[in-house]
Amino acid sequence: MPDFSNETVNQWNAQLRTQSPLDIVRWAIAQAGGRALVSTNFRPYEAAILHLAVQAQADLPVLWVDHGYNRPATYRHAEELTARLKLNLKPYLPRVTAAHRDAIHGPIPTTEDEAGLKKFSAVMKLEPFQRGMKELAPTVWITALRKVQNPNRAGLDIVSADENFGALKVSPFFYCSDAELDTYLAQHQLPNEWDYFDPAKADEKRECGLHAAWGKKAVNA
Amino acid sequence: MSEKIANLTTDTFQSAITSATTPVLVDFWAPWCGPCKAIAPILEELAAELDGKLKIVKVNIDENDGIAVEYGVRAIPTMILFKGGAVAETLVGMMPKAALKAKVAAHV
Repeated sequence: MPDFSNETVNQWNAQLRTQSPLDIVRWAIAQAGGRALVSTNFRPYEAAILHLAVQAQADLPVLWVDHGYNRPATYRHAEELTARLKLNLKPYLPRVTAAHRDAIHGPIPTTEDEAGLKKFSAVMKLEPFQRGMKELAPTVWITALRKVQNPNRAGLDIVSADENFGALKVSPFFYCSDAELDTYLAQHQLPNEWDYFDPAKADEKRECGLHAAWGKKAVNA
Repeated sequence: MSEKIANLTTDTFQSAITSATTPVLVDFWAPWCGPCKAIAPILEELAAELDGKLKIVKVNIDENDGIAVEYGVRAIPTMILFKGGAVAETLVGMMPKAALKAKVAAHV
């Protein structure tokens, strides 16, 4: 397995910073020796990374963990994109069905039940994802990760070495804004689906904070 | 937007809250807020499921900042449940439909 030194990764990031997302994904595929994949959860804007990825390699495997708790709209969106983009979809499902889990453990744990949520994530998301990565064994893992989604997570960049799976993680849209992705979707007439919720994502943005000015106004009112 | 969910403005807000015969859930939102867009379809479903027991309305805070400031809205979506014209519950952030329905159903 190729060893990616920090220096190499830094050089790649510097080099790719000025390249288009399409050139970045082409570069990623070229590194992969035929073993690249893209992972998705069909959340808002995922149509962009899936469209981009299949431009570079039409039969690129698409790893999707279907934890069983998606909104119906998300499943319809997944079907629509799979058909339209002719995705080589590789769904990985938990070893226990949603109905079975619900019958034994009740409703999806809320954010107040950290331990419950962690267990939910482990069984319904992480285990199938790990199984998928082990079976598909990619050398390059393409994602839709963007800086705006996780501003507090430093150390991420277009390219990073993923130690968990021993793959090179490449995020072609890393520096793109929502507006830039809106443009991409419009240019390629791709659908977007906002009706989406992932109960197991502890760090997902569930709200938008208003400006400091608002806060001051509310305090002084 | 379904016909079951009305958009309130600064002018229509007070009378809508005080004249309602059922509890009212006010969704403070803005067009640029992703989580607001995610919860919108859930609110549409709840409006249909709880029709007659609960009224759901929306306030666009970009266009009606006065109401948002008055009720101390600091993040969106913020959903405030009014009963008899008074605040009964404040919920902030996107959440699963089952969780939102449970919180709201406790009051209707």
